[in-house]
Amino acid sequence: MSVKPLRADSAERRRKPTLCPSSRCAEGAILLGVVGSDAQVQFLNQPVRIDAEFVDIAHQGRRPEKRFRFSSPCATNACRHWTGSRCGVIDEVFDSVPETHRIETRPRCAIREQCRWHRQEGDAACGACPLVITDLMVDG
Amino acid sequence: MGYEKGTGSLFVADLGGFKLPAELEREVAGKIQATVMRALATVDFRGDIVRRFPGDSKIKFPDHTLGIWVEPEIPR
Ligand code: SF4
Repeated sequence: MSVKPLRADSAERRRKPTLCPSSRCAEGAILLGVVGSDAQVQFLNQPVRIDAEFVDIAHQGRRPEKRFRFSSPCATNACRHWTGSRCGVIDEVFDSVPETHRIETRPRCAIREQCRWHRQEGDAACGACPLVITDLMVDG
Repeated sequence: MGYEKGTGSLFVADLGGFKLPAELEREVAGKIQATVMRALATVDFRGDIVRRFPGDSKIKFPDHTLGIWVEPEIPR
């Protein structure tokens, strides 16, 4: 299994696309964090791109999008959540997560400069983001 | 808004003043990372089952996906 740490070089960042912070478990995606037992996402200090072996192992358990958060380039018009000008998911998150539950301390997050939700909502997005579980379907 | 402090797992093999040859050092570091990633891929704290905000049931997206959804792929 190969692990490629992301480089933090700013010129490289400028060339990089806007990222979806709630993507799928697929080869090449960035592993952002793990959903903890308290249902809060624990962000990895050093996000890494996942490879085919990770994807394969992760799919042997319950759906990975219930257990982890992944990131990949924002698909804009190709995504059903795109309203035409913005990502509708963060609006839905703000509606569903009570203000009293939002996080005071924003997580260390290596995609912040490229994050779609942060670009739309600023630090307010980071207060609700750790409470986002990508796949909320009940098992079964 | 402040920053969260890291308190996660950290794996260290302290060889004191001894330094492995650079190539071997890279190889060992890669193996450690790969082992950690394999273990991580199996983790399931079932947090999604614990968490139910009242607002969750009102999420209007089909299949309650709060993630990227590219056609013709369907959420499940
Ligand atoms: S909303 Fe904030 S914490 Fe979440 S992925 Fe984007 S930048 Fe990171």
